[in-house]
Amino acid sequence: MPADPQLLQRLRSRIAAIERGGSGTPHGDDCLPLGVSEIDEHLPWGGLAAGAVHEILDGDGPTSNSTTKIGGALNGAVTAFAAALAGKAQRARARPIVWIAPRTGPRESLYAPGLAGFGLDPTDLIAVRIPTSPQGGGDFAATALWAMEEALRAPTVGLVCAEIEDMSLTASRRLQLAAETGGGLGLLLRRDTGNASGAALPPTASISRWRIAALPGGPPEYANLPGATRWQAELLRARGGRPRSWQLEWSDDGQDKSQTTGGFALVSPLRNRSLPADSQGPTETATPVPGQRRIA
Amino acid sequence: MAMPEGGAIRLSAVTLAAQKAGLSPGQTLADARALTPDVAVHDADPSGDATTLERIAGWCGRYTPWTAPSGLETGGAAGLWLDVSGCAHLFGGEAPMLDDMTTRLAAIGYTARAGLADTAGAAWAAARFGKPGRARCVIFAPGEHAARLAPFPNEALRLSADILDGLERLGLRNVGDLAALPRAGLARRFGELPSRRLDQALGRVDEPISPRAPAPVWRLRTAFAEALGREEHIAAAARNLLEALCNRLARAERGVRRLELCLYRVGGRVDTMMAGTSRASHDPDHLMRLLAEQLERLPEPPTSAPDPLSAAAEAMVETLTLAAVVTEPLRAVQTRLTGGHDDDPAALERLVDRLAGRLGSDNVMRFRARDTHLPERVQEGAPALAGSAATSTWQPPQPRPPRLLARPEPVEAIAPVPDDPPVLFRWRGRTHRIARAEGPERIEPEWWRQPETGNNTTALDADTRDYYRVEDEDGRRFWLYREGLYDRHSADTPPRWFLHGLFG
Repeated sequence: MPADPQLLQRLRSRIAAIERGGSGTPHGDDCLPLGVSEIDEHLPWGGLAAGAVHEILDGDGPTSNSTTKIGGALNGAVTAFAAALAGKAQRARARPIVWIAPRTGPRESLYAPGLAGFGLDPTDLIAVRIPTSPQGGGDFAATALWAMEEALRAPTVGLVCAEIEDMSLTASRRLQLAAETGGGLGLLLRRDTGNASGAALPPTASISRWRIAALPGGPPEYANLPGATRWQAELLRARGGRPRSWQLEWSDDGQDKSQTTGGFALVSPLRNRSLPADSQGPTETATPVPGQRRIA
Repeated sequence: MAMPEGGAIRLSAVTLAAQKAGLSPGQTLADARALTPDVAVHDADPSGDATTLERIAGWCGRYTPWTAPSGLETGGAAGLWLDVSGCAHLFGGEAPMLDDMTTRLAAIGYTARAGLADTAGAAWAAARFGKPGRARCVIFAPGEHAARLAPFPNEALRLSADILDGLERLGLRNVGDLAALPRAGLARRFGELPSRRLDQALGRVDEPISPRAPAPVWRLRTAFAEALGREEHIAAAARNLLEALCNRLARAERGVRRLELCLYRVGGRVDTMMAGTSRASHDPDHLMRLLAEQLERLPEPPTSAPDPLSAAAEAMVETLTLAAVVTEPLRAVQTRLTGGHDDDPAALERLVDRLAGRLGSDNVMRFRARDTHLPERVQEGAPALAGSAATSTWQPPQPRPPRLLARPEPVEAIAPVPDDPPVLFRWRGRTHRIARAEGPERIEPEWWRQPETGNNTTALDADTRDYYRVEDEDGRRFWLYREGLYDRHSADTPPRWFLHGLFG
């Protein structure tokens, strides 16, 4: 007997609600689908659950940037991935995004035109900058956590993105609790510092943990040009779900630059450029079929 | 107190006891030592005096919002102006108010003399030259300042020493003598100052004095019979004031943009808290949350003090003032941030206000596009709730990175072919071998703008940038540029490469 996917979905969300403390409110119904059916069906919530905090690690290796404890020196790949998620939340929930980052200098390191390229409307983005002391003490972390908690509790925020490096188990529990009470969706952007010592990053109360790394881009239209942005997206941990890894790419099919219609798509193995280009017809192998994509 | 003046060290201020011993300001230190060999001399600290006076002026905010320190340049004659029009009845009349003032100042260690009159000049004279009664204060009843001033010495008119000497030589002993003289002769001999001071003291001409801070229109004050020590009592009292203020504002259809709460402590300290809102509001709940955040973070009275009990007693709050420093007419329509949602629009404002209250309003912002093609100038920060900027477009014709470095960082790059992207570069200790690249996108400097370096000619030549979007072997993407045109570089000055952004 084939299982009804909708029934399964409902059961999963009810289990997730019970796991969250049995508040009875099925937050699981309120989730942010990535728009890629393979991932959304693999996740127990049918997407990224709202009322929860998700952790996204920069998988670029520990040596990529300076050894500051403050964070904020994140890779472009993670920034782009988070911006794409935030853009989806912005449109799906029709609410502004709050992005919390350390104040590294007089100029913002987030760059609005680039964020717009991943579907995030910068005019509906509130950038919160946390002042940092040159030594980078614990004051920054406390202030940043406070700001994220406030934003997660606010009902009018679509998604909260925060670049916080120092994260204790207790602090992440507080964030998770704030998200559950306020129904907010939080993304914690951190560098994967665990790799340096060989040990994994200490656990947090976040409901899922991802590691995002850059992949060589998709096949270019002409030789030696960078193609579509690609990520290696590893789901390291998910409450009630299994780890898995996908290769994703950003397909921006919109020729009309005034509005972004891009979305995530799975990288098809057939589209790998190691294969001879003439062995596959491009129309058959193109993964992003507009009708199938769920644009949030 | 002594300080160097005119080649000799002179006394700048003396205590009451020293005055009785025959010392006076202006004496040289050598003379003073000859008179009283055991005199204790300290270095004068004019800037410290100014700070103290400023603090006392703030302390006097409990009586009137209009205060100004005065006459610091004249050393010992310094004082404070207070405009108490319409304030005296709150303290039971003029005499009880001055009494209260001098008593309280004495309690925190300052001996003060107070004068009150119709004009600033007369009050100045009354405080310094009046014969004080029991309460060390002199009050000129309305209209009688001319008569009361007449027997005062010429010094009471705030004149310089040489004018005073001249008047003395002419046998003019007091203000009354001076007032009786014809003006023309006086002005010919001493300039216009004496007659102007006279007119100011008698109220014939206006004497404008700038207050320390502009007196707010919306201000409420409450004093407690017993000083408050517990934080929740202070918060409750502030809440009462806030509700009264909000009621008045609501009747006037105005809202607060900037709120100031002052706590006047028994020990003389004044704690001032500011709270700003991003949109005019007269919602006591919201405003109270903003104030409460500040109240929570007030420093605790030091428990390690030698006498913790008295330290706690000095930290008790005896008066509160609450002022709406900036108000605006309320706008009936709240701008919606995003279309088509039934959320409480004020919820976002409350979040922004709370964040901005703690982080500073320039750290909570929104991006606004500028009409320029220089990458680092394209975006600017705007207040988070400044209204919608939906018209700005962000999609450039060429791809842009989601992260831009605060300033371009120089990289070591190897680019063997002119006008081609480099084959590898080194940034922050890591070598990136470039697999794919796109470019160049040439961005010219804005020649009509003054370069920030100030050096006009060279900056303009060097500022042309050729941008490349490059991807290394692992798929990391960067935004590099070469500074300057290639043909301008010779063999000994290779072109410089910079990393400006990180692509996704």
